[in-house]
Amino acid sequence: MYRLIKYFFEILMMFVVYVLCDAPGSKKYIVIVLMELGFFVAGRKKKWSVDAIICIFLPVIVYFLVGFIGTFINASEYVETIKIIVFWLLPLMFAFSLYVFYGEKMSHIVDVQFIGSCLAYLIPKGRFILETITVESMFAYAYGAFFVYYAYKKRWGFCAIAVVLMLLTDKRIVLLAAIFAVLIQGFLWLFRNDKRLSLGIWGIASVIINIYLWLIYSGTLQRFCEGVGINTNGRTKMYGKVTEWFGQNFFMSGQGIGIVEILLSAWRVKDFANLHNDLLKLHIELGFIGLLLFLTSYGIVFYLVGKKYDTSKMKLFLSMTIYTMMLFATDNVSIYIIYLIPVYSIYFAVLTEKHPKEMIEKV
Amino acid sequence: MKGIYELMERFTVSLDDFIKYIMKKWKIVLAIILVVTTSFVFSATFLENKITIPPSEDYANLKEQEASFETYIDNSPLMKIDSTNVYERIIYLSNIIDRESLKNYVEAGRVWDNWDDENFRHYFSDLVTWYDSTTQTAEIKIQHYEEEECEKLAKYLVEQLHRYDNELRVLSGDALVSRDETIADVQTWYINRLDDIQGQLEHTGAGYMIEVTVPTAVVIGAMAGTILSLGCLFLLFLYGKKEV
Repeated sequence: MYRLIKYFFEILMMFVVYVLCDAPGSKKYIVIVLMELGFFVAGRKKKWSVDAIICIFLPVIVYFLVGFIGTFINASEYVETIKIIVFWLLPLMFAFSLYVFYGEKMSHIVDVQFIGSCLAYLIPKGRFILETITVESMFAYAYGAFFVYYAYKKRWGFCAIAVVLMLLTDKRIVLLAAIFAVLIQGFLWLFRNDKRLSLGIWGIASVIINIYLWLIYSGTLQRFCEGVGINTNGRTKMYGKVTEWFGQNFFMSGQGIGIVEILLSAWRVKDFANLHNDLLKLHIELGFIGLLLFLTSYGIVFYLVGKKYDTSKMKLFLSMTIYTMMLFATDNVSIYIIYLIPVYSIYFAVLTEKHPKEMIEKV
Repeated sequence: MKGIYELMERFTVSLDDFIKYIMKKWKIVLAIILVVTTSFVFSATFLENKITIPPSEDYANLKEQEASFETYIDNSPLMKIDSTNVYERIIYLSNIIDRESLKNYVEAGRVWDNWDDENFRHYFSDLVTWYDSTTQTAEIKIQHYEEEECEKLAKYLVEQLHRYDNELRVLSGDALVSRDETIADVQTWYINRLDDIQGQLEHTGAGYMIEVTVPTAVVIGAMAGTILSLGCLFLLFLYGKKEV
């Protein structure tokens, strides 16, 4: 009975968190910060795994360090710099606070988050779903992450629910990215989650990311999309305008965190408060070398996860990162806490679970 | 479920074993890469080193409309008229026997069949407006941006109307300089329509050409050949020819 009541309150808590995440305005961040502090205080005497913290925090630390160098060199520190830092830290610290409190039960809280997010989407939008079937929502990004996680865990029931919700929330890139991430998992499984293959795939992904950015800087992507008639909702035009501002220099140095937001707000372009391309934003903020360092930090994370834990967890980290990078390519999910909270929670859950439901592979 | 996982486990392979198998079958890998690369190079040459994605049907239609509107705006005297300073002359018609036939003669443009300048015949219908009066009378308004041209048009029209029906009574009114807002409205409509078409063109596929040089074809062919050969060898390795 106690467990049922506890479960009910956990779901209610996560329902509230996800309803807040989906709501506009900045007051939600205050509530989330207060919840974080509550979890930190309640779990202060519990043990943490330093390895897990390093593996999850490393890319964010690299982003801040490299980004700050660009910010100070270009004297481009503004309110937007602080805002971006908060957007990056808030969901990470929230997931961390959950880990501090729940410890090895993080996989349970990920399930609770999934149920809470389902209710947070279906209850307010149920009426519209009955009328129009699909109701576009940012929850799509979270459901894609859950789909990748449950496919890794081979929990096909939850996987199926995540698929249905992805279809209902109607975001093209989420479907494509999530399916591709699961295919990567399948490919690695064929080769028994080989570490070298995982790192090789990340190397290829990094090259593809740079080729994509080069196509944007050279104007090729814009010309191709316009020529073939692909509707990008004005994105490629905006990419062209921003890259032109920075001299269309693919090998540029980092301009600092928040510089893109400052530029867009100065231009006052309607409907384009954000660039809708986090990879391009990262490239501008960190520069060519900085972005390579950022991508390398992910490679280090995969290596550490493979070494300190096991290669199947490395597979989850790789597939989730590839999913994230595909979302980064066409949207600005790096500031969506509705997406980042489940992703970081999944990372902590995977690194703290003791008995994953997997085949036993040779180490 | 456990049985399915055990069955699926048989399809997993060791990367080291697979790499050794590839190295043993290097001739097959090389053969496939060479065949695919040659095909790509041959295709690129056959396609004259370019792959052209044609413009969409919508784009072609819009381009045609754009050209038509641009030609009209550049050449039509109506578009050149200053709506606050229009040269006008009214021709009064009376003793009309067949009103419909006469009206068609004027409005359909047949009245311009004998006009010297063949290129601009079809534009002058825009400068001539028929006004119905009582049964036996009507008025034709002629407008132009140049006084001399307006006189020329009026004189020509009177001559043609006399020729068409010698029972018709034609009286040419005085020359006028007036303001006509309807001309401004028509001009604005044409300009807005052209802007609208050009706006639509920006979002319609204009077509794209991808240049495929021989070195590019070699690189792409080699990559495709590598992927294909690895895929084929993987299947061979998996389904019983696991020689290490």
